[in-house]
Amino acid sequence: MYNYRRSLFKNRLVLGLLLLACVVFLTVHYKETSSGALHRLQRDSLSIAAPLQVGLTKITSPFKHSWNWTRDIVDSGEQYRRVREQNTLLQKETVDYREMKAENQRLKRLLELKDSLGQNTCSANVISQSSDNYQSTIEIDKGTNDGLHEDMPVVCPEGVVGTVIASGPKASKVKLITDTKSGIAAMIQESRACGIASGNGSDELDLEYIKQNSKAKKGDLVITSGLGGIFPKGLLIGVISFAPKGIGADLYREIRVSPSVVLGSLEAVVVIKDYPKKNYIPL
Amino acid sequence: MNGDLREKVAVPLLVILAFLLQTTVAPHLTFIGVQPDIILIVVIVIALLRGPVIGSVCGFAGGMLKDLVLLQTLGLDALSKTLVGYFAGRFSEDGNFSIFVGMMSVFLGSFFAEMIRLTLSYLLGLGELGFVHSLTASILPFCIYNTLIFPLVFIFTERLLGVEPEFPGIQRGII
Repeated sequence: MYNYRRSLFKNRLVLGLLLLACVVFLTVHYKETSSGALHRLQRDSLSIAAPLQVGLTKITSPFKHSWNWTRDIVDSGEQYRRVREQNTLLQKETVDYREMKAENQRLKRLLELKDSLGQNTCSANVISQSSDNYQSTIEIDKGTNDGLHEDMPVVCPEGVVGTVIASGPKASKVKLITDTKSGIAAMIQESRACGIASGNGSDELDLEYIKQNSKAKKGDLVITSGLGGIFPKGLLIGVISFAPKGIGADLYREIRVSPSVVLGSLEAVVVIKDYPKKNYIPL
Repeated sequence: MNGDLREKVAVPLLVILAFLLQTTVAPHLTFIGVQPDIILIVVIVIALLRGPVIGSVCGFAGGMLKDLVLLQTLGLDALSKTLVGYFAGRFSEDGNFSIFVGMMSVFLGSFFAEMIRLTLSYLLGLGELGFVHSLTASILPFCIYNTLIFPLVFIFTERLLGVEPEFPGIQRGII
């Protein structure tokens, strides 16, 4: 019992001394400045311990690599999931960015077109494509509220699109140049031969009423002639894609024109409000 | 080697080795944001095997080494480890020393060491994180991590010391 009490006293005495030392160190260290003795001691001990630490780091590096490798394997599932999420997000952002860039370019070109036309125009977005196989039409998001009405010409930066065939207050229907009921007064730019570019239900146009003696060859540009007063003169319709030499007693040449506008992927158009001119001749 | 001499060499060697491992290896063993305190585990193991005096002295030495070299507030780590070393040594005098007791000692020791550090840090105006955040985000994972590493450290320490526990009432556990 005596020994136990003596041992307990000794234990507590040691603990008390150690705690006292800790408190003294804590207080002095806390109070002194960074140039104090204890701070200096810390800096010196750091330089003493450094070589030992470097040595041990070299010895234990294979184990560290093994641990990191194991941890990477454990975390790889989570990392893979995170990377996939980031990838999805980035893909979406890329699509958004490309979309914005394309829209920006489109609007810029529309603005340039409006300026170049020098007419009273109205830009519109395409809200739907034709929904049946018998007519080639589109719907745009501008109507009578914006001053649109029937027979107004519709163009885009690449060329002629068609004409307005019906207008509601907030939307209009546009007959495309490829529609079978469409006909535009046209002219071969080089030879100045005039005719009518009419839709034939396919993706191409027929250039009709071009006489056999008129010059026309593949690659020639076809533009609006301005006759009839529906379209202004000089708008691009397309390029001649087929123009064989005249055969037999035919009065007119058979010429096909590939439209300059990709009508299936139209997104925005410009309606020229100054046309058709008064007393125009509907084709 | 003579047992007494071996112990006199082995115990300081263990503390220094623990300190070196703490500063070189432990940072690479970070798991769920915490790294183990190898010095603390070694101090608790020594205290369990050798009693409160050696435990508290080792705690003081190990903590002081860490405070010195890691440029921490001198005495902060030493104080917490001294107390944990002492009470771990007292704890082993009273009960059976099984792996469960050892793991419990490490868990509780780690908890108290961190609580002492946290309290002192706040008193000295060094605390940065809130108490509840520290408890859930770092202290509990830290205690669990230390507890899981304890068996490895215990086997190593016991082998190095190479002597049977000499306190009355202590029985060898599973390990």
